[in-house]
Amino acid sequence: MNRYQKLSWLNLIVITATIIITTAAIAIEIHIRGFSTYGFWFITPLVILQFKSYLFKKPQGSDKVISDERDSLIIKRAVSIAYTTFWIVLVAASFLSFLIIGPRNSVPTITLPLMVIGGGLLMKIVCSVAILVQYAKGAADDTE
Amino acid sequence: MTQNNVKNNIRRLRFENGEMTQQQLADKADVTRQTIIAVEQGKYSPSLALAFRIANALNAKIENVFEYEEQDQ
Repeated sequence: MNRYQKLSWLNLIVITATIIITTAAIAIEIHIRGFSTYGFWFITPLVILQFKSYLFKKPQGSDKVISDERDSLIIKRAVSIAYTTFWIVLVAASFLSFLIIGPRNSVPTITLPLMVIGGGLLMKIVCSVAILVQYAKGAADDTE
Repeated sequence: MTQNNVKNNIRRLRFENGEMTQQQLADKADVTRQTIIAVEQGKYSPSLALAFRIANALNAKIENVFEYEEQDQ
């Protein structure tokens, strides 16, 4: 497993854990207080994962190649897929809200920052999955 | 309509070069072992520069390492 596969798995594990914990915390708080202010906890993985560039780095003194042209191509493709998915989901969510809620109703203002945070998480998840799938397709027979 | 298809003889040439391992070829071509595996299996088409580096590492001409086949559909 190379560095990008490890980072992708880390993304998926941290984001999944955050979604589970935050959803549980929101459900508990709504049950106790009738409302919840924990929605912004969803931003936690986006903050934590900013420091992932310090992880799984090449050991000092090692001359082994960590990243090459194929890795760059895989990451470019994964980012492109993530941005495309984000825009499709954003457009679909906007029009669905309009159709379901109606043109004359309103939503709480917290919806907008939560949409941005949700979009960020969606992009991280899609990018990580795209990276792992591309590496899996290219390494079916890992033998000498 | 024709379909482009690039085949390679990397595996055979590795064994003809003192049974070179994929890691050794990767080190000589300055890429990762995963990339050599993907190129050998035809799952990744290397750039021109990488194709030349692989050919040099195998002490072979590039046209002996990579073969271009046009398939009519």
